[in-house]
Amino acid sequence: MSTDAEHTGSQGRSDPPARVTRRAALQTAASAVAFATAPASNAQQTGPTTSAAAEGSTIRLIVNGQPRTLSVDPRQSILDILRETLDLTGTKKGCNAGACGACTVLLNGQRINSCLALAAMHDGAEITTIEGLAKGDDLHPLQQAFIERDGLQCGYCTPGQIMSGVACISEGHAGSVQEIKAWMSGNICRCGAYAGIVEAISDVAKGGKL
Amino acid sequence: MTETIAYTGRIEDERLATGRGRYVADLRLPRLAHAFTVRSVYSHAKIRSIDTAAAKAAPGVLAVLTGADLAADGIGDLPCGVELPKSDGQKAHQAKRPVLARDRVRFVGECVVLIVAESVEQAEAAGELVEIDYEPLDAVADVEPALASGAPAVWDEVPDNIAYVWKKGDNDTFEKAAAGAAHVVRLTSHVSRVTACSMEPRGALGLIDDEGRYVIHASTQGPFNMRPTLAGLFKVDQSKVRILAGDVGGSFGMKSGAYPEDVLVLWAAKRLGRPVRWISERRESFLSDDHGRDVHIDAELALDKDGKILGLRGKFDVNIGCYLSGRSLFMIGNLGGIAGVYRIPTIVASVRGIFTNQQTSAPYRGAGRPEATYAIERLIDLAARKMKIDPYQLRLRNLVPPTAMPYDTGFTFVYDCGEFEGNMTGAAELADQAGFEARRAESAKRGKLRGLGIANPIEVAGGPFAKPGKDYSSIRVSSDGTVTLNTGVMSVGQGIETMMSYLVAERLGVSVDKVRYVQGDTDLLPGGRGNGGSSSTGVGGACVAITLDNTIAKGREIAADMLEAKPDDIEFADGHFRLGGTNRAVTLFEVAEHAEKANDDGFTAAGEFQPPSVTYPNGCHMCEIEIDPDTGALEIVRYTIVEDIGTVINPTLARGQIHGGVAQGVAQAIGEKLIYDAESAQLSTGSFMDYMIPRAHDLPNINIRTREVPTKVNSLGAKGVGEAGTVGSLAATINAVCDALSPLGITHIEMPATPARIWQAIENAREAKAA
Amino acid sequence: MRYEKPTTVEAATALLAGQGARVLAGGTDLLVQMRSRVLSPDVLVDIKGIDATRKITKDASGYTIGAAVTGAELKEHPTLSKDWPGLVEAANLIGSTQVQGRCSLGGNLCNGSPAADSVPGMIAAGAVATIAGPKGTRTLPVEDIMLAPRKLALTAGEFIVSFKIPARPAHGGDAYLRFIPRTEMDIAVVGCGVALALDAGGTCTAARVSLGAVAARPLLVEDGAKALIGTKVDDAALAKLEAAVRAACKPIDDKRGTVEFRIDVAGTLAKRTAKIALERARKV
Repeated sequence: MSTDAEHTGSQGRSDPPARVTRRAALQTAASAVAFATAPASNAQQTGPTTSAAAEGSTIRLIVNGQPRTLSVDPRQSILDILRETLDLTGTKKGCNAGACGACTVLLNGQRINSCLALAAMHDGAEITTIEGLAKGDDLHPLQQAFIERDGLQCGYCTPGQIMSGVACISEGHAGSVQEIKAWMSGNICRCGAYAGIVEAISDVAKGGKL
Repeated sequence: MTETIAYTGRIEDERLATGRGRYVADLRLPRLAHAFTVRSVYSHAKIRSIDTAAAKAAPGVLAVLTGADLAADGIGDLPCGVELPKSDGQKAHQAKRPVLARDRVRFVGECVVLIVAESVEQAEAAGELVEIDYEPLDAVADVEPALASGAPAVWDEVPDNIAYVWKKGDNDTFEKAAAGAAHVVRLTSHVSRVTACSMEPRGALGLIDDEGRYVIHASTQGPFNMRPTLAGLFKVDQSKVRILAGDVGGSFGMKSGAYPEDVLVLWAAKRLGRPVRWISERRESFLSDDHGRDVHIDAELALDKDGKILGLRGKFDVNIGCYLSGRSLFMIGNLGGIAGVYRIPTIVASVRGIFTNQQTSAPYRGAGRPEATYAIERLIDLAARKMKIDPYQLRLRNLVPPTAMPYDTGFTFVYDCGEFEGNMTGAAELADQAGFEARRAESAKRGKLRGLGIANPIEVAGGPFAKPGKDYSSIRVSSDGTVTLNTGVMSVGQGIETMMSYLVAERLGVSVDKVRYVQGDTDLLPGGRGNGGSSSTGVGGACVAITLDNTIAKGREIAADMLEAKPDDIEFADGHFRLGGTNRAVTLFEVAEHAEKANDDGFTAAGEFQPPSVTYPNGCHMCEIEIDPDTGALEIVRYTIVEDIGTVINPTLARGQIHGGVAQGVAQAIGEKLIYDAESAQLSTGSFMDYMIPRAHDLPNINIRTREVPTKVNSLGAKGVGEAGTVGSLAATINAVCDALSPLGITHIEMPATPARIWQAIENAREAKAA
Repeated sequence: MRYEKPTTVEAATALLAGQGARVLAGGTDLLVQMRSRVLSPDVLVDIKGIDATRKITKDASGYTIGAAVTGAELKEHPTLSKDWPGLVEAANLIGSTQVQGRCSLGGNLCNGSPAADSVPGMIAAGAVATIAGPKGTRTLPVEDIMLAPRKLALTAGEFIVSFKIPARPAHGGDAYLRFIPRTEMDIAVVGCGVALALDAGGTCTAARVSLGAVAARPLLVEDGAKALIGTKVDDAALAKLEAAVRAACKPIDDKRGTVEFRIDVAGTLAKRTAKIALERARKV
């Protein structure tokens, strides 16, 4: 992902302003914060008309196998829906900018940074979070492998690492240590537990338990 | 003694690997309100006025508060408490940090206005409506401009921007040694400014409980550290303040003090009568977390013609930022590491804290130890290069032998034990040092430059050095078959729950799953060290060992009562109290049942441990790298460590700590650095896109071997491991880069050794040769 | 802020002609900028409801790739990676794996960063954009789309529907390399795309050389192509390519590297990229 970092710094700001001014666009943003409850049909598009969403819209998601119908603000990310609306706090917010991977979940089987996924864009999606991996008391093989291989320390990046690892294996990108390291480079671990993380993924990929 | 239980993985892992960790942002409370801070965009400015009217009227807003409101509520600044002198000999100016800036901001990111609203989005939106009228002032961004004559003063009371001065040793003695030396090498180098980047950003949730107490759930590594500060600011007795730390997602020293935001959430909670939570955004954390390191080193090493060290002098200027507190003194307590593992007849060193218009620089994994080791280990390499002596041999020649223990370095540290040569020979063998030159030649055939860097770190642990901190713990054995342990130390990811639970289980003869570990609650103990200074095992573990002794002693008394005997006649083994010479026994839990019936307290015991002195983990690091001279790209091909951390309680957890420490030291050596734009003073490395943080494929597999030279300072023999990886890796990695570049005539390169810098060094060397 | 998902090009251009409307494809760049308050759109127009933006079709004249096709989808296409591996590699260097699943060629280009990874790969391949607007459809070579950082040659209401990539020549090969401080997540210091075609005797008959991150916009380096055409892409030709590329760069100093460093590495990288393209051209 590239942003224009060259000319004015990563924030796009040069000289700091003498007065912190109000931005006209904020008027719109402030009023859009309140959830709109009028349902709008996003599910099916018939004919060449646009399916317009009102300030808020209703979407349907299947989260860890459970169907959920939700009213969402257009600016809400899937991460925020999971944590704040559905109270599934296992998925973590590390940077809210798609750069650390702590928020990784599976969306229709693919790994995504849920902080950059607008909920409104994903009506009908199937989402799996860390809470949905274990089957009752039986841990998912990769969860078990993380524990066996000491693949975590503070645990904050861990849900994202595990979800990303599950996908890394199903994508067929866990054939070697080098491959795993490259394909897991989207998930930061500041505690430095990479060796255990890579071993855990390697174990499960080799063992074919998935 | 006790039977060791087979290690089957960390206890906390099942909770964490299934998403059931409880970090501050995961807490849910009714009527929770959300805080947002408006921060300064200037590094130095007067605040002429703050207009909050529009913000106050914004949707969902509950409060918009400024420094004036704090003053009206009688809440002062965060304490300073530094007794050191400044350059004129007077006591250091107590440059206290305000909770919200009042009339002046002194760094980009300083909190100016607090907004509390029903949601974070509403609070942020209201933040955009606050109008602050700033009058920009001249600023100093770094040590050099701060010390230049006529430089703007960060504090009017300190015109030369020197916050404190400290020195030890005799300059004349060094000068004499240097005068008689065959060689004197000099290192001028800057250990860069970095930031902890814990994956969990800082956060705090404040509330007033039913008894009117101030209660804060904080992402902190030092709950007990915060308590006197918070109590002092709110002008209540410490018993009226409770700090709770649940799961903390990494800290690395950064989360060890009370921050303005911690005060703000409690203050807001008190005013509003609702719980208030603040969670740092990542962009915000780059600006507002306490930063680390930023030390300018000017050091000299004097040697005789055979390479024996005659003396060492070091001057350390620390860019402490714009505020002063005990946290600004990190370089002093840990400076003793400049003596290294070497005999150095005379050492003189000084430290100055320099004010700049920057965020505070405070303890960050190592907290002065990596800087100290970097100084001596770079000097030795410079000397080796100059004298054409092999760097490994030069170190061997000067090592303190085991027979010299206890060894007074003649500076600050006195080593109780250590076998330094064994570390070196072990590392040399593990790293296949003997085969290095052949590998270097093979790399050269492929057009690459290969280098091997060595460092022998030694550091203080279980301190602080000046006055080691005391720890407390307590145990309750319950008739329901569980044992609850409350510890004064705490984990921010190191697996302390596991280490402690195994200690308890082994000693008391119960299974590990019967142990309940409780940390991070200031209500449960008289005090506690929290996390930090590589002390959890050597001090925290030793304290738990004492509490276990007390538990067994207490158990023997109760059992004696039950068995109608004298406590002296009762033996404890395998979870049973046995009347010696008979087969009459009661179990641990039967004792608990008896105690619970007899009194409310039940079967409890407490313990405390005041370490008599500090410990000195030490080791040898060897870093091997390969550089592509056409692009400056660098790869670490091998990293080897032999580390003496005393008795190893849990090898897996110890290795994890060393890995993590190496990751942070290596990253600072090759890429991490906070960079502020010279003109606008804005942070240009303010995100994970711009700040180089190591990812899975940036680090090599690390080959680690531990050597046990147990210390007698604590009953476990443990020396401490949390910072060891960082202390050695910063030096070893830079030494490796310099070794790789030395055939080109390059003697030194400043961190971070990025491709651009390496390429430039190679270019400059080529041009110099051509000229 | 509204979210709209039109199903036709006409509906999309009508929405985009309105105030404060922005195209949403993968959303990876856009959301980051919205959060840091660089952008504050009133309407997000999700173009992924329009079939043409999501398809990859192949015919005798080449490929048509929808602007919202993701890097991961490009890689999964059965023949695209064989025909234009450099283009696919370039598109898959955008961000981390999780981002690859969502980022698109169109989005990367229209973000307007001179350091965009996929763009030199597209330019080298000779990609031409199909642009829809209120006044109808037009085409524009990709090298003419970005004028300056964040400044595109698109007018109000216009958006890129798809890209046309030519059929790969008989003995053609392309490659993309980039040099970054550490990892894929970082912003490129230099990116280089090279595509070339050989005749049956192994002489280069056509070439396109493109650079990213070394000027205010991605460059098509015509002198670089001239250095290769008519040669067997031997060391002498590569040396000329290196010099031409270095002469074309106009980079800036920043924390990632000085001007001299970027110019030097650009030349080195161009040679390495050309060698890979050559090997690929020789194999087919």
